[in-house]
Amino acid sequence: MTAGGRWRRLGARLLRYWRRFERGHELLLVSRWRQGLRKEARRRDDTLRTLLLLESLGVDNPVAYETLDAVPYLVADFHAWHRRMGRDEFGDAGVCC
Amino acid sequence: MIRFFGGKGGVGKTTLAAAFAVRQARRGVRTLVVSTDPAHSLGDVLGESLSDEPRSVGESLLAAEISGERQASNRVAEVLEDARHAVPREVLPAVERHLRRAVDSPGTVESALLDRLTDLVERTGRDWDLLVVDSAPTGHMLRLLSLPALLTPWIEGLAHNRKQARDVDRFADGLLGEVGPQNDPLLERLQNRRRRLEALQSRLREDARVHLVLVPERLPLAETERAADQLAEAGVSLGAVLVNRVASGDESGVLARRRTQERAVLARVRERFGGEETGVLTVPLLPGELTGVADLAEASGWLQSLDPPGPREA
Ligand SMILES: Nc1ncnc2c1ncn2[C@@H]1O[C@H](COP(=O)(O)OP(=O)(O)OP(=O)(O)O)[C@@H](O)[C@H]1O
Ligand SMILES: [Mg+2]
Repeated sequence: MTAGGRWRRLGARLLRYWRRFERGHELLLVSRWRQGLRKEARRRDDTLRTLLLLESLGVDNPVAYETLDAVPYLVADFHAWHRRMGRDEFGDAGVCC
Repeated sequence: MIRFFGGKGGVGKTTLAAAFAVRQARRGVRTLVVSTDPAHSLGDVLGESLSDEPRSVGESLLAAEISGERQASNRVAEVLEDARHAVPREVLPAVERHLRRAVDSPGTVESALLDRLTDLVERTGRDWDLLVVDSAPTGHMLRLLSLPALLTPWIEGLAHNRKQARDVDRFADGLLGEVGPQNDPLLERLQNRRRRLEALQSRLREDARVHLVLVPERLPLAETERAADQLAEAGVSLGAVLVNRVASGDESGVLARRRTQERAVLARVRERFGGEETGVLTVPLLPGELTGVADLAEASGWLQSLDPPGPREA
């Protein structure tokens, strides 16, 4: 399989995972289009965030080494995100705190 | 100038890479010979104890044995140290857990090895003029060489995704009259890694030659032909193909029969690789231990036709 094909397949899988995850977090549902825009931005970030934290979901990341630099930023992003959602602790120490 | 020596297990890669390096150093070419094989034997062949950092083992000659595992754990320590100043204290344990998990991902050791090799490639032409790589068996080497091609689209995807998210965010901020963040440190880092991989890739394509080593038997021949195809696909040039441990031809009995088989394989090797661009070099079955710089220098006469232009000719 080509790297591009793998990327797309993984992307689809992530999105599915993320949708399932979001269902429990309806807080993100927004009405105004500006908020919609922001949400879109977050969703994109979320996909990336999830991709880079794939190891905690048991999915192998073939570029894990190349993206090591990103891990602290992504965990910090994740932390900020669950606090925005009104949770001081995420509740899964394997993912955040 | 970069030369890889690759081939099936036990065909003589380490011996020939070391002999080649010793020979070039004696011609006055500042040379580093480095082993990337997880089961290092370069130090044994040179009769020196080697580590991750190149050390002098003779005039104009440096040697090292690099390890993907060590590089990966060094990188984790580095990233963790940076993180201490960059992220909230309470998430540090989670960061550390994610890093350790990332290091256990398949492919990480190879990527880390490539990362360390990139350091050495970058220093080639400055700290030494010739880099000789005693590589691991063929499959490992091919993966090593194809990694940049495999990783580049991934990193591009990541960077693109991240940039889009930033742009949409900035657009929304603009509507509110807020000022968005100008620099995205994560994006910068991802792009730096991509640039580094791309630089390595073009350096390998322009400046590297792979010498495939085989012994004159049928199985190694098939693997060599496959490796040559895959290397061509990866855009890396072949150097002369080395047929090692060729019998002298004056044997009788069983050895004479073997000799007939050898001739058939040699003919096929010449047919496939004998063109002007690559060429074929045969190295006979040599006497002696073939260890230590002096022994290797003696054996290296057979490698004369591989000589790049030396500083004394240039
Ligand atoms: N031309 C030769 N004549 C005689 N012996 C040789 C010759 N070339 C290599 N040898 C011997 O063959 C053995 C294997 O060689 P070497 O370790 O260089 O192979 P290698 O391809 O690096 O093996 P590995 O895949 O295990 O790293 C060694 O004992 C070496 O001394
Ligand atoms: Mg070897």
